[in-house]
Amino acid sequence: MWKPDEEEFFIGYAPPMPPRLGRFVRRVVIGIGCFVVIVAVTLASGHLRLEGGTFEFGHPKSFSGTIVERPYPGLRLDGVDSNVEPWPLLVAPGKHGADALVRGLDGRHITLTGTRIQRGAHTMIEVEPASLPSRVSEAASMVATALLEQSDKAAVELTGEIVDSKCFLGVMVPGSGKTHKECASLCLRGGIPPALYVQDRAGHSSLLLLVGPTGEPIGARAVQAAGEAISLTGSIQRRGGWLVLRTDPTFWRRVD
Amino acid sequence: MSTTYRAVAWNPQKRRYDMVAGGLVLGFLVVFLGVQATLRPELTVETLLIRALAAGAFTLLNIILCIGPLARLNRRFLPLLYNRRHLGVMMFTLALAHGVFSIVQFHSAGTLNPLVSVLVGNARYTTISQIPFQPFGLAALTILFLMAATSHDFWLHNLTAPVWKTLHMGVYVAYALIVLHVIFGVLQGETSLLLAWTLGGGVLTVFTLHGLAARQEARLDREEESLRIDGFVDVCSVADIPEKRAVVRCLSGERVAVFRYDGQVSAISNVCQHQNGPLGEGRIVNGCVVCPWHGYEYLPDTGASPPPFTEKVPTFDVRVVAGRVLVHPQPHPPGTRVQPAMLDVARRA
Ligand code: HEM
Ligand code: FES
Repeated sequence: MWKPDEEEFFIGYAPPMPPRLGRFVRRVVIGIGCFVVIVAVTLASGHLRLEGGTFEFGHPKSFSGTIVERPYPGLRLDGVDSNVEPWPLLVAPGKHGADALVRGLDGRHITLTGTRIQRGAHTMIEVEPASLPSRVSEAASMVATALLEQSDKAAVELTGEIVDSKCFLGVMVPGSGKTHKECASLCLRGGIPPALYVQDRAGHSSLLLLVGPTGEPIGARAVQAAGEAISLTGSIQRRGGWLVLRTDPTFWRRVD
Repeated sequence: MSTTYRAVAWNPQKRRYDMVAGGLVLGFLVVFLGVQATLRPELTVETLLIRALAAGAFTLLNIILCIGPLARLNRRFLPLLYNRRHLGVMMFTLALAHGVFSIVQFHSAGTLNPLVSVLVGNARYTTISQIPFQPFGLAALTILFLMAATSHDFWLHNLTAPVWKTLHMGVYVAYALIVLHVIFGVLQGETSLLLAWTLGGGVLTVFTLHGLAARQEARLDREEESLRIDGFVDVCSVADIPEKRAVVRCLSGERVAVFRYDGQVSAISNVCQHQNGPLGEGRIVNGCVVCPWHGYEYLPDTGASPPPFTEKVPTFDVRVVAGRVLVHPQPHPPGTRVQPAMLDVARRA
């Protein structure tokens, strides 16, 4: 209990504060100051290290190459062997894919302006829509499809996280995991190519672009699984430097 | 209702309080941003800001929630309580900035309305390991918004004190929601022990302090069997009450503050009309009982604030017999004048 005669009385609107109380308050404030610094350092260093890519935001460049329309928009850069280096995927600004932007441009050689997104060997370009030529609807959309048909397939069973390739490759860090889940589902909804990120115990990791059983885009069907660990089966092919996984979302299993 | 809102006026004390608090908040943000940008260079600026603002808001909320019980346990913490509402508004500002940045970053520029995305972007409400955490933050932010928007004494008077106080107890609901927001969000996403321990330490401290303060209050409310004469209860001896101070006793479930001043004794309710501050822990200055929390004033014989103010608290009949103070537990309506009990000359000396 308080001992009335020993204590000074503080009235907020009637300064100055009584001297002994003032000293006490000063000590408390200094204590809170130290506490604040300790908590800030603890919380700031408590977060785990994340992997992430880079997004050259604010530094758009010009890229020349041949448009690939399917399964997901890409650009086969001039003078680059796609079997060695994956071709950049194309996406639109925000949480939107570039399907509508490149529709009808398949196989066309163009120069566009965009911002590079990069993580490891994988690149992506956020296209400035105005830098694309207006659509030519009769252009053949054979190249990508043809590419997808060739070469051997390997049947696999994999477990990994469904990610949206744009955030994952560097637009956001974290660009995967629980805190990013809603963003990933919004990106897939908007047409950003879905991918599966798999890691083995030794720490090796791979990113696989996801397409449906007939090589069709499946972003819309992957929305609910975004940001979650999924177990799935499918067949892997290497296309344009990318590992492409054909899989049927109907048979995906959640690993909660 | 008050004709003016005196507790809101600015004064040097409040200005100093706000400057110190603002400086500490700024210091927190600078340290957090500096350390995290150095240790985690891979993070984007948006993530750094979202985290720094969130950590700052939540740390501040923990401090705010500790001030109340600390001031109950040790009166010397009262100066921290004095302008606590400004801390609340600062905390809300940080939390709002965090929420807005998060919504812009994670929920905008897509094909869904951002708020819809917050609520249904992750629809797995029934699976604990996957449950969305943002809706908890949004609910907390809504409560904090209502509190910050009504923090002015204008609203205290216009909503009436009981409604206002109930609304502001919402801070505990908001606190619980934020704890869930953090557990289901960052802690599930990162499983970081350091963050978990810090969160646990904060929650434990808030709980412990509230528990200790509640125990002390309960002790105060224990009604001791006392002598009763004519319905009057023997409260204490005159000598137990220091001059210009009070002794607090619980009579028929109500706390009564019995003041001694200038050779007289008066009893009024212990509960300040402003925010339930303990009047019996105040003292009499210039003839008025001054509340220890924010300085509201009441005349000891009428329980009414001096004009132009209009707050009133109940008063009680008092007698002094043979050096003992006797109080009738039946309260008079707020503001009713009661003749103070006079001390005899020998005692007055
Ligand atoms: C619309 C409301 C809100 C949304 C959308 C939201 C969103 C988020 C997101 C996305 C994160 C994860 C950040 C990361 O680590 O990458 C987060 C963390 C956090 N949020 Fe919120 N939040 C909201 C409201 C609040 C409120 C009102 C508070 C109260 C102080 C709060 C406190 C926190 C805390 C303490 C963290 C952990 C910070 C850290 O990572 O160190 N949030 N929130
Ligand atoms: S002055 Fe605010 S509670 Fe008494």
